[in-house]
Amino acid sequence: MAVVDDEYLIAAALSVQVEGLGLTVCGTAATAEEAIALARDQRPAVVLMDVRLGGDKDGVDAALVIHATVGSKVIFVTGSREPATLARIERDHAAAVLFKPISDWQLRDAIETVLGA
Amino acid sequence: MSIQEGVIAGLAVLASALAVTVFARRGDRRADAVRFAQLAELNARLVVALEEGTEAKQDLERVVAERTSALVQRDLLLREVYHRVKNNLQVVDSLIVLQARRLSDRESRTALEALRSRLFALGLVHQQVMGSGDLETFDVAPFLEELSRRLRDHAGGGVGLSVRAAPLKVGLDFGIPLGLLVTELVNEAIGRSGPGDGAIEVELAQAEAGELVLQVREGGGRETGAPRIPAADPASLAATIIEALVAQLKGVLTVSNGQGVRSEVRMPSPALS
Repeated sequence: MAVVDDEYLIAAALSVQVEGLGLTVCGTAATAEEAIALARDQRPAVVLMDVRLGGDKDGVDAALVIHATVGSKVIFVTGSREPATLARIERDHAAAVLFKPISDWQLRDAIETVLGA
Repeated sequence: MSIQEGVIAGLAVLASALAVTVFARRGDRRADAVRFAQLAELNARLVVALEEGTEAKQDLERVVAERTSALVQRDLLLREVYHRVKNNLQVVDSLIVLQARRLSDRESRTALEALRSRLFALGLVHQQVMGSGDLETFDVAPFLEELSRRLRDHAGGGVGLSVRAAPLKVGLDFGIPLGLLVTELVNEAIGRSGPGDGAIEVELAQAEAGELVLQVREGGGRETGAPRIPAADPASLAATIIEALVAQLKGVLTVSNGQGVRSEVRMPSPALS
């Protein structure tokens, strides 16, 4: 499992939540480029992806590349409800979309659904 | 005298001057010369008035453009501030998650989870204002729907939920305490509900004379008539928060304990400034 968020504390908290479910976090990334490099290197089954990232590209861009090259399932994690963002996620093979803040229960449910599918 | 008045007065003088000219006896060259001079002067005044009008219009257009750009700027800044507020709340939420993992006792962790849901309510209010056209007010109905649903999902366990709220525009001053109050009442109801219980009902209705009635009811139904866990322990944090928020909203809280606990808050409808 990889965690992508440009807020390092949010990434740390998400990692802790994932590990609390008994899963392993292979790394965290803060930009689209870092996320793509991490995914190529570690080939995670699932990526938790924030939409707004530092840098030119956002989480949707990174997810497109990761999905095409590594084939990881991408769960989008977003704080925004903006229709433009949601429309972009829709077109991007999203395995699931979670809205921050995320409870352990919601996270477990989403990951189980994605891995079971 | 305004430009318009000046133009109208000028035209009136011009018209009378023309009339006088038509009826003037031919051959009276001196009178013609005087009339001509008067007309030339009137014409000059009209040209000046028109120029002033054009200038004034340009000034006005400039002011409108400046104001429009200031408004666009204000919207951008407000959006940015709301985004920052939301982001900060998410960072605080993450800090709570990180802290919770360091605690071993269940009670402390449950308390921190409850704090997370209160923060979530604050964040959701900001999300509503961010999405509204005027960046100041939002409709309380979809907000209560989403808040209650997310609180239920956050808790897990699949308790039924029904939300009925009348459309009502509110600002932050009212939306924040209302959102926090609903959070407490719904979390209390979820905490008291078990598998097989009826749905939790949340209702916000306009009563007569500018009064709002908020109701949160548990479905009940585990064992009809069986004694239920009473409403918020008066010494609990939830009770303290509910009391403070009801007071802030100038409301009155009534709790009845029948088949399930039913909390009702009657409060004045907010006046939007």
